[in-house]
Amino acid sequence: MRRRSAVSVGRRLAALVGMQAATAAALLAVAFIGYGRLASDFSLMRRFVLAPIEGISEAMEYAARLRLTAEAAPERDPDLPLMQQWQRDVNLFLQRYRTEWAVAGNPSADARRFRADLERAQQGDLVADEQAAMNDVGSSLERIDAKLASLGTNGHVAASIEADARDLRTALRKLLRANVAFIEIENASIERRSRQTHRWMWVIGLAGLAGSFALGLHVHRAIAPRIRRLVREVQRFKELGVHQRVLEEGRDEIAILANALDAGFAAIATQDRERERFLAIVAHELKTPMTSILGFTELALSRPESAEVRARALDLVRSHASRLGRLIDDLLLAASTRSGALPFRPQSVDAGALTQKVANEVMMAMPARRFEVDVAGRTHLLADEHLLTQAIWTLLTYAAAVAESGHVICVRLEPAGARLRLEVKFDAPSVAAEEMERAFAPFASVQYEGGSGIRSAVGLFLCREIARVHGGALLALNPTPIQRVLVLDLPA
Amino acid sequence: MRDNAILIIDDDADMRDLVRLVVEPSDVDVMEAATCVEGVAALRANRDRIRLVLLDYFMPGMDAACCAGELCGLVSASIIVLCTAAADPAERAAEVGLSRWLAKPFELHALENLVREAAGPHRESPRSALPQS
Repeated sequence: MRRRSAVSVGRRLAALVGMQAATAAALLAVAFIGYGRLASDFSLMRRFVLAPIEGISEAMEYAARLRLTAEAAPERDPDLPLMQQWQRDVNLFLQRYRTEWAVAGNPSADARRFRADLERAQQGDLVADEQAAMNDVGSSLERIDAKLASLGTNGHVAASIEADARDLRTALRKLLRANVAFIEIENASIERRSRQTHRWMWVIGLAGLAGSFALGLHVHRAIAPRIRRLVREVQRFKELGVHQRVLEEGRDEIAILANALDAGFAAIATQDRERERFLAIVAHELKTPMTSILGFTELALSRPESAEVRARALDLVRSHASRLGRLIDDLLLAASTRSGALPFRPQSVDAGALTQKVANEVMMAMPARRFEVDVAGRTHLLADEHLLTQAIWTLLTYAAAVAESGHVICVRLEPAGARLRLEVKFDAPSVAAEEMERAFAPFASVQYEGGSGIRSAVGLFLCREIARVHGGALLALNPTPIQRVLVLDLPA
Repeated sequence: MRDNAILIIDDDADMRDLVRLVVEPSDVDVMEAATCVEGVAALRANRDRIRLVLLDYFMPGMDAACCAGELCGLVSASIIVLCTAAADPAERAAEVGLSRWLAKPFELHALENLVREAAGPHRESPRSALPQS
């Protein structure tokens, strides 16, 4: 499976989350700005339109009263103080209107914005209309004020105010119309802004949705098919046990996962091959002596008169049975080691005597190999005798298998402080240091040419594990290019 | 020296002895070789009377395929039988270019039949008796 992927899956997910966060932020910003402007528009409408309308209505009421009072003056004496009060109230309204509510001539920022809104709506003339209405109201009030000041009790003169009061009311109505027009324009502005805000929110929302969908699809395409392929690879490996290279070029997380899986599969496949090879060697090692044992026993049974055949058969059975027993022990202990259940029953053991005994056994099984065994000092230790025997057997057969033919294998056992040190020294120029390392792997084996043909010895994995359960260690040293030393170091 | 002989090429002395002891009572000579080089030399010198060659798979000095190749250059492949303790003897035989094989461990009568068939006056096709498993 080959797939190139340079962009990290994490980055793709980050881009997706970033896109969604950006969309949410943009929507919030638009909402804040849009609704903030709408709130501002409502505020302007309240300040410049709704609030003055009430004042205008009151002023129009006073103007109406002035007109009615002036109209009735010839027949009835006017209540001058009341008329003056009305005139003052309208005047106060006008002053307040000019300072607080007027759009025209107002220097405040809100008023400037409102005027800009009017200009945008091409209704700038309304500002002039408002100004004219204010001027008309002002001049009508001035005329009424002048007449009221010189009025005295003259009913005829009082009647002359009636025309000014009518003008005043007309001017106020004009002001009211201007404000109503403001309402319509501001309302239209609010509606426009509202629509605009909604439009932007739709645009950003849809763009964010589309972007998130596209990025989500991108992430999905980057992950899902590759994960499915990996699952298929795992399934195939599980079913067939065949390792096919899982190739994911790139540096993203899926590629890392695929490469880790591939390394795992390769390791399992290699171990399987090693195990199969080991089993094939073991089968061969079991069947070869079995051929001799079966053949000679059958021959001895078919020729009971031949003492030579019988003696040969018995001797052969004895020597092969001993070697097969060791091999079977090796296998059982290696299996126990692999399952983590190596039996350990310590007792006092004379390692010197044990080493000598095992060396004799190995020499008998491999007559072509020469050993020199040297035991020095007190060599008792607390150990599992069966395991230690097996460890020394494995060590010596391995050394015999790889040692240079015709050379002596030196075995020395001696105390070293509170420990015992079994040193096996031999020349093996054809065995590289890496090859020695490989002998420590589970299922490692080595073939050698024995006295009775090609034979196989198990590697050093079992010996190392036995050393470990005793609290010791097995070391492989290469002091010179040709000399190899195996050291079994155990606590005494 | 008898007219018929068999050649056993095996580095295992026990195996060679076994074959010799089994075949000795019959009217057939047993020639032994511990290596392939020795075996090829023995076959070259006695090719006119060697009726059967028993060849071990694991041999020092030369791999079984090379050895079988050299032997087949001297005699017909049909008289060469591969003896192996491998789990898949047929596959091993095919691997070295042979069609006959004898799986270890074997019963003595299988070996006796092989020798009898090889030395007999009316030999059947070698494939009829083998392969044995």
